Amino acid sequence: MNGGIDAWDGLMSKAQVGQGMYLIEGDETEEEVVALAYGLEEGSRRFYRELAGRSDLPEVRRLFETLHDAEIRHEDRLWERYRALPGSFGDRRAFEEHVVPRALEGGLAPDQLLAGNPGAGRGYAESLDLAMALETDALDLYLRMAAAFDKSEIRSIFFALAEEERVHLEKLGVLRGCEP
Amino acid sequence: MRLMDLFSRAKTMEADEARRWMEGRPPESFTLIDVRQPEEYERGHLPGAVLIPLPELEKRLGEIDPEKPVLAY
Repeated sequence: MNGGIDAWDGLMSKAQVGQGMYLIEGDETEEEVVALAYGLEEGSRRFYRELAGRSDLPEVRRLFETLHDAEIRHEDRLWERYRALPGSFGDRRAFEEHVVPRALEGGLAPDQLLAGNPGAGRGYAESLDLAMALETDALDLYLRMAAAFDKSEIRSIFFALAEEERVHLEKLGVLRGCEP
Repeated sequence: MRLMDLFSRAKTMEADEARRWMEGRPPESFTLIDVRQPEEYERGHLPGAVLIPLPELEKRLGEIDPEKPVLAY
């Protein structure tokens, strides 16, 4: 690419080398991968809910509530994918009991992400920046995780998740264009 | 990899062209490689880029799928 990274004005992730890759071994089953992804989305859902509850600004609360609801839709799609697998639990609550949110999507712990975005929750623009950083790292992590697996069924799970994050980021980009 | 690929030159793209090229195809259909140093990668990289610093590229060629086009920066 001419001009290298300096010429690029699109999305950029600041994920560290190998960020979040500790979450996988590379030999997981489809069920385990869906549960892992569900846990990452759940981690983000709880994080956005907490940030929405912390802010005194209505527009910031609305932003985080919107993001929270988007994570629920991601979880819904993962649940549908899980339910279609042979031998999966038929009960979502039982499935969720097996899901452990070990990190946010993107692979960071909440305090790590907040440390890099100290203004989040105080202002709309700063909160939007945090959300875009989190979602861009999620896109990055899902694509890197896909590359770590040979099985096409597993890779397709991560590529579908990456596509959801990409669409999510497009919507956030529109919000950035019409900040209150 | 086809035999003639060994004799083909790499194409250089402008950043806008690269973005359109990537947007026009699914992410699983190509390999995106960041050939800079780790500290440069951590300051900001294209989502999904695989870090293979240029000095390591020759010995890590086996990690790159020869059947897919590669976009490097």
